[in-house]
Amino acid sequence: MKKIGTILSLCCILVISGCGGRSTSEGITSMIIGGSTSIQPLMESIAETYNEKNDALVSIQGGGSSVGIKGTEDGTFQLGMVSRELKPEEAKQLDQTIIALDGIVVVVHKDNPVDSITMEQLKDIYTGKITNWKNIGGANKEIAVVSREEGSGTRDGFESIVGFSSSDLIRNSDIQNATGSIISDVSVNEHGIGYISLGSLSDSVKVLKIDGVLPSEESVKDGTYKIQRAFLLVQKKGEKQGSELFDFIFSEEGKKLIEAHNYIPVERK
Amino acid sequence: MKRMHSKLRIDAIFKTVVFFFTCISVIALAAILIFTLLKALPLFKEVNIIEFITSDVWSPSTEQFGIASFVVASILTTILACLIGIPVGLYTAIFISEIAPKKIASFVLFAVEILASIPSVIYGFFGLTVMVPFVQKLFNIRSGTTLFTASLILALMILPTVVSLSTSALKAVPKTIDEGSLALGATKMQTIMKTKIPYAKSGILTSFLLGLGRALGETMAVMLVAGNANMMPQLIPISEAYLNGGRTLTGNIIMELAYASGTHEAALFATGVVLFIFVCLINIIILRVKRKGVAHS
Repeated sequence: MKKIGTILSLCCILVISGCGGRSTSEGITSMIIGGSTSIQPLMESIAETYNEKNDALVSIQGGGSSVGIKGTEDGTFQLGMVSRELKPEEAKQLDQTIIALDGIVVVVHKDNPVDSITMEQLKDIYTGKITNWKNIGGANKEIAVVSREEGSGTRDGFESIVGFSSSDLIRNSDIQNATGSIISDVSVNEHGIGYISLGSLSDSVKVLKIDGVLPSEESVKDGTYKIQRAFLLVQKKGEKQGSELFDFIFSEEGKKLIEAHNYIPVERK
Repeated sequence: MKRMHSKLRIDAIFKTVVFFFTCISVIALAAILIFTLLKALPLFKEVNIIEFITSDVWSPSTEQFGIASFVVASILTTILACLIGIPVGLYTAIFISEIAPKKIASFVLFAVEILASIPSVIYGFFGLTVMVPFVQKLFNIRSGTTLFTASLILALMILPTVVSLSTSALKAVPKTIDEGSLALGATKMQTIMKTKIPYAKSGILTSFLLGLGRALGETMAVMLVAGNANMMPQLIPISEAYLNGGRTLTGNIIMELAYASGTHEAALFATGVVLFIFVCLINIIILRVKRKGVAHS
């Protein structure tokens, strides 16, 4: 029923916009973009502004990075949103464009004496091999791991960069489904450790260096901060659809939108 | 004659309007039920129902859906919340209806009813910033987000239900019962405990069960303080279960619904169906208790 409703309303919009006699340079007026739920909110606001300015009909769907890739390959989506690296066999089929960068920062309680942590230690903490802060130079306190929920793009990104799978996550880990909850959980617990998106960082928690590098816009951009991911838009090799949308994303206005979502804008490559 | 006729007509219209509005509430229930069932259905093409309820492996990324640990966590928090909340609630009700002077009684009742109108997210926030650090320091444990903390918050949340319904049940006991008991030489306490409470039994039991239903169905506050760990609570010793985090049925739904799609989404709706069955069972028991109460008096 819902689908029929959507189709009907889409038809109406198409008919109405057709009556207006607008220029419909093919493929640009109507486009479906789907994939990563991490990129979805950003692309939704980009699409909203873009649609208004250009009388276009770009719509955004979620589903996850893998859905975005599959949908782009089989033509369901004109563009796919992907927040992980493409696998070699996927890269053969698809062209990718990096539209923004996101750093994931590891946070602990303000009074935690630990300043820096290695990727290996981080992985051991999240998979339950290291369970006490004293093992990595902290106080003799059991570690309280905090993670995001299954399906969260931040969790997906964190796990794939740090290098463990969802089922290896320590079983007694607290799970919170919002950045704010992770911050408040860690800010009141001297045992706690959690991770959030760089842009959502607040003063109430302490940021850890990863392999000696403090996360910042610069260290994410120059690649020295390791826990970062690129937000990609992918399309079938050789297709040139949506080049006007890309122009918009890389324009000053697009960059502002990206910054408003607390991600790091990049230059077009 | 004519006036009589129009009066009858108004009466008929009134009946239709009442019937129409009744239909809305029944249809709403049916719609929610059907919608939830339909949304849950795709899961059972992939996963067997028995496995869904008895397996404790919940791993959406590998398409494994078992909610046993969430069922156990829900039952554990509900039981402890009732063990704490019900005695406190019942004694408060006795204080209000039997012991306190009128002014104090109405003040306490007012305070308890205010408790009922605080939004659950406020309870959760209070829990997260006050109770969680408190529980952590009290037991000197890794994290204060535990099933115990959740039970404490729930106990607080079911108080208004238990207090206000028990109070009205106690107040509904006829004066003659009181007087009879006192005239036979029973003390005030004996009269309350041995005469009034047994007389108001079905109303009081109903208040307990409604409180229990509230504890089982509460979502937001529990999600914020329970830790939501995806693991089976370890029942022996029982302190292990309560002093660790856990995820309730409601918590599981709200945790993951935002990003879920496909079978994962269906599994969350199926979690809702299981919760619905629990709530139905409680309501059937309430109906039975009430009917017994009616037959009794």
